[in-house]
Amino acid sequence: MAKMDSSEMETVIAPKAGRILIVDDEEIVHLTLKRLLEPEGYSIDSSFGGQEALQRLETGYDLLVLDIRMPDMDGIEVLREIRKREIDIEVLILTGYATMESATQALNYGARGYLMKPIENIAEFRNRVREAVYIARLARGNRQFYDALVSGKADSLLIDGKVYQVPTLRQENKEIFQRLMEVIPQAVGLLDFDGNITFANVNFARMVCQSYQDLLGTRFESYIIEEDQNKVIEAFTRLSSGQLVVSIAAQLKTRFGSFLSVIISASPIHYRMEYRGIVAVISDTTEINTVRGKVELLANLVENAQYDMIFIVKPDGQIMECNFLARSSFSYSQSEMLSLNIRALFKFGVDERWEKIVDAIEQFSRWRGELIAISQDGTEFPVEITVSRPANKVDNSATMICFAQDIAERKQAQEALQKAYRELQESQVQLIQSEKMSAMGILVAGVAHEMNNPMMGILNFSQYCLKHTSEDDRRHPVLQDIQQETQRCIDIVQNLLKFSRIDREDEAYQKESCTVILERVLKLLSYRTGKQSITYHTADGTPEVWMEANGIQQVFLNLVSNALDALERREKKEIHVDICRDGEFVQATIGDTGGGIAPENVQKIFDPFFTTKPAGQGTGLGLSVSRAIIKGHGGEITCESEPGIGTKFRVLLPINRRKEGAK
Amino acid sequence: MRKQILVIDDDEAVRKSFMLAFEDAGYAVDTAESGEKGIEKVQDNKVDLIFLDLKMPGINGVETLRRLRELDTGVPIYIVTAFHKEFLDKLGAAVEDGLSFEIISKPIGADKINLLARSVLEGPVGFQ
Repeated sequence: MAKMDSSEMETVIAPKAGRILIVDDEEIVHLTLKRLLEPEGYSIDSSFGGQEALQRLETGYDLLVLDIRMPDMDGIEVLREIRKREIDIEVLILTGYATMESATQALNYGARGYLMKPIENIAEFRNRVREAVYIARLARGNRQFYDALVSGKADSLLIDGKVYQVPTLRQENKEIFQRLMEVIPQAVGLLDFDGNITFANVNFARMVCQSYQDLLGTRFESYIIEEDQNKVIEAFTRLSSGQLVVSIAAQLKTRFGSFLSVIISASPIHYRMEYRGIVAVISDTTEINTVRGKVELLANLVENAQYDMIFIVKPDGQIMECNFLARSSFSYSQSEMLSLNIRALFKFGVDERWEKIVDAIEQFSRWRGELIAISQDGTEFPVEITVSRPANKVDNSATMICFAQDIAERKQAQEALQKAYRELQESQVQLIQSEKMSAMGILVAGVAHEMNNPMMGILNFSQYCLKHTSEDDRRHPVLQDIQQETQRCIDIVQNLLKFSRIDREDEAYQKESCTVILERVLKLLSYRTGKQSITYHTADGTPEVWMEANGIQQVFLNLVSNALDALERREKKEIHVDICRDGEFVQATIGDTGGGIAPENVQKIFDPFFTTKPAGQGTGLGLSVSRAIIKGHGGEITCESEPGIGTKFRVLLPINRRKEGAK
Repeated sequence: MRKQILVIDDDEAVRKSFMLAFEDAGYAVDTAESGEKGIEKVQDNKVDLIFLDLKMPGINGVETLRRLRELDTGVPIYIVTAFHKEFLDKLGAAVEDGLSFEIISKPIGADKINLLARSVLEGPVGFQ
């Protein structure tokens, strides 16, 4: 026993007497220890070397306080010699941190424990000494009594100044001692110096599946698997050189080739000052190993969980255990975690207070919800958390298990999915719209084509009549109206055709200046302009644009004539066109001081057949055709309007986009 | 001798339109309601200008153009069309084969018809 809980030590009522020998090569150690121990009532002697100490020990001491490193012989040597001479004494090793390893080793050679130098806790030090002295005396008395009992040589004994009667051991009791060997569950074997089995209990034979009569005389290591044999032989060698006990985990092999995990504990047997052999006790650890293996496996599983932060908590929320992911997600160390309450890790809302969760678990055995987690550095992340109370068969301690999953990514994915879904819906609407338009386009084209010939007839017939009607004739202006209206019909049909085949035409692309196109449009519209002030400005360095010039001309024509229409009944009649470069685009804005567009209509102006012009004055196709043309160029057309102030159309055309497959 | 104009179109309204437009223009105007009939007329008489429709029953305008050019007459041919997509490709092929023609879009009024005819038959007089 290396160390004992100090509270347990208080219960030991130690006699404040005993002989102690201190062995150390340093004077100061002797002085210190004496000063500490003499008030306790011990008689204390000092030795400065191993040899001298051994001689003095013959005079009978209860406790030896032994330095591990001395010039003439080290502590281990002294211990060996003590066992060899069968000196009945308890030994405490004095050690600093530097010799800690030798001190631990000394425990295997029969030292009771070690005392750390320098001594920090005097009360503990005194307790250790008191305990060792007490046990030395107790053991000596026990052994005397036991020897007397077994040998039957004395009928009374004087122990610690008191006379005890020794009962006579009857013959049958000796048999019972032998039977004792058979009822203990371990296998016990007695080996000679060479490792031959000289005695074994029947459990030994059963464990290795051998007949008892064949067992005696065989070598012990022959029952051990080959890989473990050297380990066992080496351990036994240590016993013969003075070590008091060895413990080896090994595998036995049975006669039928199966294996058995065991722990072999062995001790040397000294009898009458001589080393006589080894006693080996073998315990089956298969079951223990299986359970331990399972526990380790489960612990690993919990610790290395990839997606779950796992906490084991008391009902008041105190954290008892947690896994790696929990620590790393919250940036706390294990010891920090164990000092925390689960309430410090999550934002518990009003409805999810920890007490309510505990209540819910009482009722429904589990609770699941989403909470916000707060890590040590203050970062917050959403988690999905499941709290449950596991069925506990071992004890009824009401621990709870929390599984928390970081759902930040999942939430992001969900949002992205929703967004994608919305976009899909929108584009589906657009697709349906464009499908509709394309179906309508085909229909319109068919009708328009069929109308071309009759239109040509009406146009020419009315012109003919007009030509042969005197201007004085009152039918003359009517015929003029017919001609004019026919021309309008023709325009409508032309627009319809243009609209329907807008994306089917492979018009030739060319590099052209928007300004040139605008000027051409203004010239074409000159018959309508007069009272309006039309200004235009092109910024320096505005490049030419790859375009299908007829299409763009059509767009400008539509926009400028719309602007002219808008100015008809306005006092301020101004149109201003601005052309400039905007990154990879050329931007043209056409603004007017017209009446503007009602906000509810701004969205609709690009829809086919939408018009606010008086019946008979607009086809409702101009802007939708314009938009189709601009989109065909990879550009954009937008509209801003303020009722009562004016309207501004903005056209963006990519500078370097040549229509694919354009000739 | 008056210049001879031939209008090949299956639609009577169109044929009549040309007839009326040219009424006092001083040209001899003839019409045919199909490609086949138009070709016969070109074979029988000298023709100075042809207005040709594209979409017609029987042989269409492009085929008619091809056969007229096979007759090896250099007569100017104006294809009057509303730009049917299906014929434009064939027309493109005709251009590649070196067949010469001009295109005007339908519908077309009397003034333009006359302007066009005069510029072809009498040189670019009065055509701006």
